[in-house]
Amino acid sequence: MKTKLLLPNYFKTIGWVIFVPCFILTLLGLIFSESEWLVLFNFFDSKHVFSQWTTFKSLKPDIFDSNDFAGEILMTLTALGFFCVAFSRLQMEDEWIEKVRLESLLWGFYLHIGFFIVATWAGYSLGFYIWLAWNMLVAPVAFLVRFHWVVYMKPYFEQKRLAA
Amino acid sequence: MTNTIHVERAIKRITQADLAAAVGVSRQTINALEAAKYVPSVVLAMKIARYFEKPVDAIFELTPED
Repeated sequence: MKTKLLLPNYFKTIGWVIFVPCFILTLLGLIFSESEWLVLFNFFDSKHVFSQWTTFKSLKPDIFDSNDFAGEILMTLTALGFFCVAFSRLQMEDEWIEKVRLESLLWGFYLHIGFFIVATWAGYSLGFYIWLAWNMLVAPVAFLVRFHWVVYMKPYFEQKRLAA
Repeated sequence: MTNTIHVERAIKRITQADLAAAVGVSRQTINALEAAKYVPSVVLAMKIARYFEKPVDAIFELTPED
């Protein structure tokens, strides 16, 4: 895409290195939030392995005593990792890539809206908010999957099919 | 829009990657063009035509749907 809004290409590698582990930990944290055996790596729980380094004591204990920021750090890193992967230039950025990028953004947004509408009608109370929490991940994941499928995987399989 | 890039490439005996490098796009873009899944911009169509030393309409042809 011929725009100044994209990051340089080397951010893609940095992005993958940050995004993949953080995304896996986010998923594990959400899926096994009630699990006892995963408590060491569930950064949304205050009993995890980095708890003592990520807990901040409040200067105003009458408002709140302390808070564990591991979950916030993990979510921030996941979002930053996604941003670097999704919005850095490819080595050869051209008009077709631009088209695929924009189409994939639309796919991500459509799915996000679709899940939101389903959540509105199918969920209520806490279930609704849990669904919304999961829906947070739908747009970025749908974008990444669709973009990389069309740019890398689809041509690869087509070439393989033609060669066979 | 259909095109004869695949034929022209075969005549010149060059790969998709060679053509992509010559006109300054990715190999996947040439692949999408040959599969008629993407209609190029005027600039890219002219670059491809110039590379094969032919007029644009000798390589790209409108279909009834266009």
